[in-house]
Amino acid sequence: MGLFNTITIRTPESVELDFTLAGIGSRAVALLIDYTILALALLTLLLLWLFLAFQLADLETFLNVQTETLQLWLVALFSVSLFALYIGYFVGFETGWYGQTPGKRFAKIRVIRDDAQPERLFQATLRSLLRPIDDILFIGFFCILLSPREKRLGDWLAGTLVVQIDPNTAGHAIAVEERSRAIAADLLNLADFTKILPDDFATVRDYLQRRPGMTEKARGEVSLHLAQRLRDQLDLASLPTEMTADTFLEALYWGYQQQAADSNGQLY
Amino acid sequence: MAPSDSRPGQLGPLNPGNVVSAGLRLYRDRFKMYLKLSAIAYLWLLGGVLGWALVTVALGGLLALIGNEVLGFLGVGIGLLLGLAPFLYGIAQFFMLSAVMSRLAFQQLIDQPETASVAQSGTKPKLWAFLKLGLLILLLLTVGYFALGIVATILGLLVGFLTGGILSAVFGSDIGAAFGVALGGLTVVAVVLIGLVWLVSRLSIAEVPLAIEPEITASDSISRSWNLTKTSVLRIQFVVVAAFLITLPFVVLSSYLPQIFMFRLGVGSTAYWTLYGVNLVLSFLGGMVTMPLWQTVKGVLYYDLRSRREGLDLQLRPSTDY
Repeated sequence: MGLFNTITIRTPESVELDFTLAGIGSRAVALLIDYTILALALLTLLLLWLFLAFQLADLETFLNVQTETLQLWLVALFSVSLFALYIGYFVGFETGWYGQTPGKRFAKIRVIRDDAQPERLFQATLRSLLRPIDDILFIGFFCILLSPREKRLGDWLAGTLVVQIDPNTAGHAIAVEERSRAIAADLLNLADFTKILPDDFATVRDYLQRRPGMTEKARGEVSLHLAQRLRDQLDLASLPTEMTADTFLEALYWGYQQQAADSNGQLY
Repeated sequence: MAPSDSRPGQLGPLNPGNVVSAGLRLYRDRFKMYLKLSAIAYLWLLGGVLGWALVTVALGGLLALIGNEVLGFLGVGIGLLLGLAPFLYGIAQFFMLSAVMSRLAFQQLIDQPETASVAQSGTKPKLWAFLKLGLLILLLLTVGYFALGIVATILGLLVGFLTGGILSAVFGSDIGAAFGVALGGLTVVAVVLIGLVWLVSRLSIAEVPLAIEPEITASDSISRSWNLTKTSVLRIQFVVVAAFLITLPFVVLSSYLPQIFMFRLGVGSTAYWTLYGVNLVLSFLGGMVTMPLWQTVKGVLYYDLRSRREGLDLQLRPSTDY
């Protein structure tokens, strides 16, 4: 599907890596979360500073320092800590979490270098120093929207890209009932599982992974549809016992996994 | 190679950011088509409002000319009622055309793209169902608002008196009363706000099933939206805010900036009214440009929710035993 921009990067080792670029939507979600966290942190900082200022004012006579000097110091300290928080948040997280901040983690995106290496301190610093400029008049927004590699000014300067994390890596464990495992053994004797196409197996796996979130009615329809299709593929005239479509699919999944594990065992 | 790598193109469930990106991409790829539909929709809206005003003024004026002032007022009254017809027709067209945009986006996602005219001929017979749907949503929101108001008041009083009472007993009546009022008031605001956001989210894609699914009525469409969004209210919040952030540059240019200028000029001057007119035209144009984005995002959201709740993408994956 051409809905998301993709990019192929050739690493110095001549390996070609494919990435899907983050997209403006995910970057907006990440920004939203990061700026909310930052705003809360700034508020805490402000309250802390006010508290400190009042405490120091009480001590003023005791310390024997002039009020103006003290105020200047306080304001200066506050400005520095403000700047440190704004820059430090992005630099710290992006360096420590290999190109991710809490917002990017939620939006399932990450910053990488143009040569697909992980982002380091240098790139993270450049990106966050340019961030205020990108925010002014939506400059960064238009840059991301209009450039084919979705780079804002900070990305141009630091030589970085923002890409999506492969969604397939985050799979939930699939619960397979004891009964289905037993049936899987029977099915393996009855039918040749190599007739199942990898695509269809992937569909079965996706169904089993996602069925908890599906409505009762849809589960019935989808499982029946898939079970019928796979039963035809396996040329199964009769089933070993009576079972629901869900059990049949669980058994197929389990059997296919066992078989794959066995053949791998023979190979290596 | 993992089996999933060679899977034919069905996107399946998307995260909120990708719902918005996909919506924007669909809009950009067929920008002219969507903008034209949006322009027609907004013209229908404008036509409806103008029609209402015209009928009212014409009838009032005519009867005032024929008879006296009393008859004129009567004419205005009848005009207001009769003018409702063109107004409602315009609203129905506006609503239907906006739903057509979501349909076009959805059809593209399931690899069965349509042209604007094909999509429109599919929704045309349901024109009045769209009006009914709009009125039903309005009714639901009004009822929901009042129900929330009642619940919020009861909860607020409860929280206010409880915390006020306890804190008065511990810290004295002054602090107790202040905290009681503050917490009670916060509870009321929070309950109404959260409740309304939740209600609007549950109804957010109500017009999309009506435009896409065959043999469906207005109330069916609402219950479809209700069921599909059941477990996704929080995700929808992220979609909405991210989409809003993307429209922000356009909204700022077309509506916020002119309004700031207006405030500086002060009411009454010629410049003010000129700017008022410019402002009106600009926000009209701004709405025209941003509406397709909201509608394509809704189309993608509908696809996403149907994939999550009904395994739509799993059913659509082509059977490989050809």
